[in-house]
Amino acid sequence: MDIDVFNSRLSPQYRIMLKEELDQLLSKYNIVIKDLPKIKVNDPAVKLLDAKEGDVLEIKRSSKTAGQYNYYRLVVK
Amino acid sequence: MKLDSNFVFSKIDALEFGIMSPKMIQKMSAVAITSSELYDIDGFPVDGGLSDLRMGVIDPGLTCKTCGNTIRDCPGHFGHLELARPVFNVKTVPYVYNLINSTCNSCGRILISDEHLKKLSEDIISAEINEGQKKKIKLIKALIKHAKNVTVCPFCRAKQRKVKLEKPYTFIDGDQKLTPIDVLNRLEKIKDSDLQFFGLDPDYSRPEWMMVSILAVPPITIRPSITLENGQRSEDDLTHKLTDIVRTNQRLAENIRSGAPEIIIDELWDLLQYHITTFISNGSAQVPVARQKSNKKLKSLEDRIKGKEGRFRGSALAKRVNYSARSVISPDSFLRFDEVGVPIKIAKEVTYPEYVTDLNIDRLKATIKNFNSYPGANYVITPDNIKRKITEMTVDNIIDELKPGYIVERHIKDGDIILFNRQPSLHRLSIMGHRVKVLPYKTLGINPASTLPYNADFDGDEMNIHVLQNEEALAEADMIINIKNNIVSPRHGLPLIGAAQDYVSGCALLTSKETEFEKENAEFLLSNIGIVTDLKKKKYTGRELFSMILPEDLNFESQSSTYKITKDDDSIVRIKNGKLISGVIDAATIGRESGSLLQFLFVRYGSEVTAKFIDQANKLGLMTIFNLGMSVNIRDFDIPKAAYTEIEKAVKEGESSVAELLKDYDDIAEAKILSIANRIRIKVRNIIDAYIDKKNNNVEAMITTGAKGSITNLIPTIGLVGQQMLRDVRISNGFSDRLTSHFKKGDNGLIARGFIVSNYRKGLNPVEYFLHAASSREGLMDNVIRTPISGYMQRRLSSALNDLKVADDLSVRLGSAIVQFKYGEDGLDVSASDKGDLKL
Repeated sequence: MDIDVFNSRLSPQYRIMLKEELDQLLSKYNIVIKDLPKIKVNDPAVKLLDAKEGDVLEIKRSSKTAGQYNYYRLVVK
Repeated sequence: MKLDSNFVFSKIDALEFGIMSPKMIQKMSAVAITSSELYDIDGFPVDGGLSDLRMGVIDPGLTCKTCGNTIRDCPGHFGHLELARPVFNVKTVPYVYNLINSTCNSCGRILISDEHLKKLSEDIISAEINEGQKKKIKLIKALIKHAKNVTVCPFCRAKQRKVKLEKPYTFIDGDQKLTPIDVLNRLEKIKDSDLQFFGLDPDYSRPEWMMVSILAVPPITIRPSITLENGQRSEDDLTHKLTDIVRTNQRLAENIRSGAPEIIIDELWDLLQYHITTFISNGSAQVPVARQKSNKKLKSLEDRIKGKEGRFRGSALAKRVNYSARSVISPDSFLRFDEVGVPIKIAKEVTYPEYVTDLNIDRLKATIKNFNSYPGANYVITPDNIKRKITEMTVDNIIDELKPGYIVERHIKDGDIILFNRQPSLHRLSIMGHRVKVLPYKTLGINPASTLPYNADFDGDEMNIHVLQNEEALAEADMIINIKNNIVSPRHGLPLIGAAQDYVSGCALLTSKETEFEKENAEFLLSNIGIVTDLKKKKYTGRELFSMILPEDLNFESQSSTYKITKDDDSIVRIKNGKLISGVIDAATIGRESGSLLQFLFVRYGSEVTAKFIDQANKLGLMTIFNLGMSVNIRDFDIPKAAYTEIEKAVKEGESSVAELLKDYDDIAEAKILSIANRIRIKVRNIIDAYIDKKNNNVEAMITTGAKGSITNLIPTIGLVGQQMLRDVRISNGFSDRLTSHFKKGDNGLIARGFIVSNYRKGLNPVEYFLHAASSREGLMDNVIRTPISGYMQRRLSSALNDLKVADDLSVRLGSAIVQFKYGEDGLDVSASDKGDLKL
């Protein structure tokens, strides 16, 4: 049974980042791509977005204290 | 620090562990042990004895007969003892057992056919490369299990019998006992090429080496004898065991030579086996423990390695620290909360290395001169790094030559910053910087106000101090982990240090509306907090006095604990321009983990002001309670008769509704009955709350001000104790169909199943007492089981988060990797915020 995880009210918003956005992010934190938090390719959200290994997802999470909080995860094997 | 490649002479590529062969033991041996005697009549070590000088030196001044070094440089040298008959090594018996059972009893080949072996060999090699040692071991275990059940040797067609192992070390083949010699012969027959299937490398571990035929005798340096005061020598446990071995071996050899009967030889052989077993491992199952004359267990070789006090956990991984002290802690309200009372005895032992400069040379010279007493100094370090002890002989010399550049290790003195710690150190507040206050006691003193972050109490708790040894550490302790800077918790932004118990009661008493002091009393009160003044007015209210410790420009308004309960408008705390206009200062404003005023002060005025305020408020409260007095009376626990009639009525009602329920539902009514029991409790709570005397009642006063206790504590004390439970249901099944013989069979009513209608004040009847104890015991057992579980959970969690840190850009990182892009999603330091807000 396949469930559309994006339909759940508990699911945050996912988006594959563009190359320019990614470069900006990496320079903002002065890091290399491997320093980003990871997400597995077999994660339901990654499958639905059809993201590939090496893509970076922008995840918009709602936060009790900060309103909205953006998280960035690198798709890995 | 990077390791310079020029200094790398060789690199370790791999380690190979193996078993020492008898040949190897002989080769590395410096002495063949031939005598069980240690010393001759003149007290000199016997040649070939267990203290032979060729095995190393343990006395200073002597040189080793083997290497020519003195005690410092001689590493010690092994000897060897040729055994008259071989014996088993207990630690290898399981492996020997496997080997014997998986190999042919006649040709010694592994009991698996050739074509099978080829495939297995490849499997094992590839498993080791691709999947690691664990997989390899798994394969070998499966192989052994298979080989054990083979009945005919695939090579020589010999029939195989299963050899049984009777623990600890008796092998039985059919109905015959296998002697170590038989086993040795069988092991010797195993081919080198078959050993890989057992995970053995024939170059380093031939199976027959698992038997002891030549015993390696450890050097005396690892089993030194000590000379007692009376000149007698006391030998190490290992030496004692070795003399037993040598003596038994000699007797065995003599008996064999003289052709003694088989039984006697076997007996001695067994004894030799026992001694060597307990030499290696004393305390293995089914082997009687070898003891000293004093009935103390002899330390075996295994004991030195194994367990908590063993070489690994106790020596290699152990961490020890100098300049630290540990003692029982005692409460001392006359210390500031950021101080720690240090006994003189400790202050004279732990030191701080102070650089000599032109400015402090006179003071340091004085401490050196005073080395015998306090404040003195213990050592002086010269610029060329030589440490010299200050003694009667050296004082004058040292004082003469002392000049800038020297370092004096002086006693710690009042005002020094040290670290204070209580284990378990679960969070960062378990180690904080405190200021030293040297006192003539023998325990470490701590102000009760700072016990919360350490989770300390005074029922015998011990705490540690660490004296910092350089300026950088000192600065960090002062500016980062000083207890003053950690008043507010990083967890919830509330003060962890503040008033509790009597301090709260005192402050509430001081700031209640009616409290007034004569001029003299007011002056005395203020003198205790360092305010010495000539007061103008004749009378002062408590609130006026309390205002004197508030910052002059403070404006603050907050509800007090008292207001939350009494709803009396006068109890709302209002501070205008540093004057307490109305309100009772109690737990809600200055209490630990609740004090809104403390939190406000910390955020607005900083740590110094808050720290001073806490100390002064506590002291004021304490002195108020000293002066006005506060105690509890049994009358404080009185509620009128009418209240008890109401309680009885509530119980009666509950009982009848339970009876009603049971009539209709029999035993499925449990959940409803429990809620009835709970409802009675709530009713009783309301009755107590309504009827208890709120004026002139110190128990009630402590509850309303938040000093200690709550209505919940009053329910079982003066109301009723209530339902007793075991495993989340009403207590049941003591006797058949009833709880105890005091009840009727089949009675499932409230009382008959552990509802206690008495209270602590009146006392419980024996049945109630028994049921209450049963329920309490469950609580205690749960606690005992849960504590270590949650402790270990906490430990794993903090270990996992150990290296996380907040970087300058507020991201949380593990090394360079990002864990959170903004600390806590909002980037706020909770302890610096006002209830999660930084808009101050």
